[in-house]
Amino acid sequence: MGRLKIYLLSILFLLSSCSLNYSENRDSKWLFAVYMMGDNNLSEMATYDLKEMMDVGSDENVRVVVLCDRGEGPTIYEVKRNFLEPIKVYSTLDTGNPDTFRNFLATLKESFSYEHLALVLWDHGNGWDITGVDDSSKSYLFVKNVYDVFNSTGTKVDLLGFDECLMGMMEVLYTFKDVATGIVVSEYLEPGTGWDYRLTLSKFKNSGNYSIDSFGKIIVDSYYLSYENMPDATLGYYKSETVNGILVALNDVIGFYSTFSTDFKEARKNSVSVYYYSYIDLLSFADALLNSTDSGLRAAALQLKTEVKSGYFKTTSPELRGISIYFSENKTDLIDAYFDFKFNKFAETNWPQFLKEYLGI
Amino acid sequence: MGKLKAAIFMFLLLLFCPLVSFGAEVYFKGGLGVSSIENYNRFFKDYPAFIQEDGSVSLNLSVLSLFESKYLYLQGEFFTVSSQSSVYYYTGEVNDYSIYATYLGVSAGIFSQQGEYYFLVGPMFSMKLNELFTAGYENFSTDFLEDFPWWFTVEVGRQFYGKKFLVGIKFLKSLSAVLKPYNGKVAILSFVFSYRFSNNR
Repeated sequence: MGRLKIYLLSILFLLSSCSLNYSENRDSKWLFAVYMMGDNNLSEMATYDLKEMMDVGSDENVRVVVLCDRGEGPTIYEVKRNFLEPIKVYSTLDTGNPDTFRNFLATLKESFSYEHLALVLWDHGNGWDITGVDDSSKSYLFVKNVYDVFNSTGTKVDLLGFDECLMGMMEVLYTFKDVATGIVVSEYLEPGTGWDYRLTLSKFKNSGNYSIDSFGKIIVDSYYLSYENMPDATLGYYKSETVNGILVALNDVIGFYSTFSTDFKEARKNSVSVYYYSYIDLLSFADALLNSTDSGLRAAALQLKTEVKSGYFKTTSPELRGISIYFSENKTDLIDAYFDFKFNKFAETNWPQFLKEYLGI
Repeated sequence: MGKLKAAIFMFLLLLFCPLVSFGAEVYFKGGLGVSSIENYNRFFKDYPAFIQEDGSVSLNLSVLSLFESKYLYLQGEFFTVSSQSSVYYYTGEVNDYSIYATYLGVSAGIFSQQGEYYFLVGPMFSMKLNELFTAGYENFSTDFLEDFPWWFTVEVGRQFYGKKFLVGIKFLKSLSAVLKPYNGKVAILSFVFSYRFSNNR
């Protein structure tokens, strides 16, 4: 019995003295986090984008983290070279639920240490209202939901990207201008393959310039390089001060609106529609206003053009030039939610009121 | 290097404990077999690729000590767990992915002999010494496998040369999930060869 005791004590000693820990260094200059809502017909595209990220991997300058939901076993990965390291595995997730997005942000804060945060929302986009679709849960993530999560958690991001169609709207930029230093959005449709993460991440890592501006511009440049032979490829990077400048100029422009003038009706008619008839290219609207006989309005329109152009934008289309805005021309087509602050933060600006006056509501 | 030294120290101590503790009938054992980690391929569920599971080798070294009653045994064991897959990306690349872990275990249970044949069965407690994930040409320290899993071990075989030499088949299965992220159990099937060290019988 004495020998058995000695043996058991030896084992206890071993267990207590030799526990081996695998503490992973998760500090980095940038955390590049992607909220990949792929539980829909983009599921396969998600795998290709993950592969692009895996080709580059993570290091102490840029650490790449993805919440990938393709319907089964959603997982938060740290993307390493050739390898997706699972950080958290779920049995199921509703990525359209704002709480899921909130939890993702909490995981980023708990599990990683970083100087700068770039956050990308990855999915189908529909402009000012919808930024994600979860087919299994039959739910949508609304733009305002995302803002509310940022606001309620006090989260600020250095760079906010939408790897989605149609998110290059004034409404989207306005919604996030106070929570993101820079915003990357596409005015028009994006191809299913979306951003070129391999090119973007490798160029950024190799640039040696880890500023927010550098990252934002590299995302735009890489996208343009990938799709320069494709019609209507658009991507822009807008700083929050740029958005503020555009908003001031836009307010000046609509300050000239009068029901007695046909300037705005003519300008609306001559504006370029962006996929939907009710989305118009803001620069084309400003251009059309330059035909006004009112010199004050012309000057305001010119200033609006200048402000929009101060964003960093690349396009393969001569007509799509940066930012769109919702401008319905018909009362019956109006979407009530657009005017409700609960669904659209832009409802607090002068633009919705202008629309109502324009449509005689 | 510190971890390696600790592992070697533990290996020696744990394996030789049965020897110094009982010393009645001690066998040195070595084995080679295959291991399988349930759900291992779920690591690649989000890869744009076709996955082929490859054979995975498991090694084990142990010291078996029989109690004087000859019906009970105590065994210190060092063994490896691994799983390997080839990932054929649709982009044309092929990468080999493997996970390796080494464990130290202590088991005790029933030992039985029927003529030339022997049989042992019992639970085993183990401690993970290290773990490695290799992806392509990159190695990563990971912690996907449980640190202190329990196992169930069964071994049957035949004794030769006056019970000096034993040849058997050993089956080891985890009693709960060992692969943490994907809730997978581990099973190992090996051929084992034992040599009786003591001549007290």
